[in-house]
Amino acid sequence: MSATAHRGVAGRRSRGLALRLLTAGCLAVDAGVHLHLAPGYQAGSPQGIGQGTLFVLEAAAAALAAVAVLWRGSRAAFAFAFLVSLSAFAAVVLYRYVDIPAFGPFPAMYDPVWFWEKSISAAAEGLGAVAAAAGFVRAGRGRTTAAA
Amino acid sequence: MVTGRKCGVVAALAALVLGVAGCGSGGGTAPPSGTSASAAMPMDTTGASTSTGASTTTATAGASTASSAGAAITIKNFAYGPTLEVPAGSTVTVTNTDSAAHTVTADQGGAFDVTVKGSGGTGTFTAPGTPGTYTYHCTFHPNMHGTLVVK
Repeated sequence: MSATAHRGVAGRRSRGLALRLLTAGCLAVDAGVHLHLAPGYQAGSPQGIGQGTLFVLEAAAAALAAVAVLWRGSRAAFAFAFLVSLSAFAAVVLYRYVDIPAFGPFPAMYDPVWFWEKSISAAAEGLGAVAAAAGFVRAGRGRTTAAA
Repeated sequence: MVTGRKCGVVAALAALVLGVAGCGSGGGTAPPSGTSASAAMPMDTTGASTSTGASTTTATAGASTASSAGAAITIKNFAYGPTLEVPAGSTVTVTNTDSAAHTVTADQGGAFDVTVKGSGGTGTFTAPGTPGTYTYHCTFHPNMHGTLVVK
């Protein structure tokens, strides 16, 4: 392998690692903020399974996705991370602007304000979704290249 | 070696999660217990400050049960509204129009603390007996802050 080709492989690996770290970092922030806010929100909205319980479930899914992305870095891991990040981002934006009443096990979670923790979490979820999507595409390309 | 590196990365991630979860102050705490070990300590008081501000609270859900006319705090869209001025020792009625429950909890000293259920729930608390400016917050939602001025 030539030096140029070697540098190319090393560059792709470092970019792939950076993408995994970025995705996992965003998921970690998402998980941490939700864990931090869960007790208060559970007390404020305990109907159904409670908003705090949903926050804990979100945190668990985000942490699991972060570990999967770091450990495997596979398409499946990035796909899971994308779904977790995007669903969380969609939920926080939806409940910020739309007063959705309680339904099924879900309590009414209308929260028409932005504050520091919530903003950081939403930004991390949005960035994490983009990073996970990029990682998913990149992992697909790597597989295609290897097969060829 | 690869496994060791992965373990290091995962350990770093776990530390980050725990670090973020532990950061911040005051927000997202557990519901108030209704008791406080310290005396009321208003921000701007005149004269000696003791536990005179401590008060009991009541709360109901649904129909308004305000026991006396006068000062009122209306919670709407996760906000307490403007600063309220009340006479020392007066009864303050809190009405919560949000679907989520909220608290009106003095920032310092347990001067007052009431939990008000959502969807029109009401509660009352007795304003501290010591004049001063009392800031308060919701223990459920870290972004909610208000100010009560006791004359």
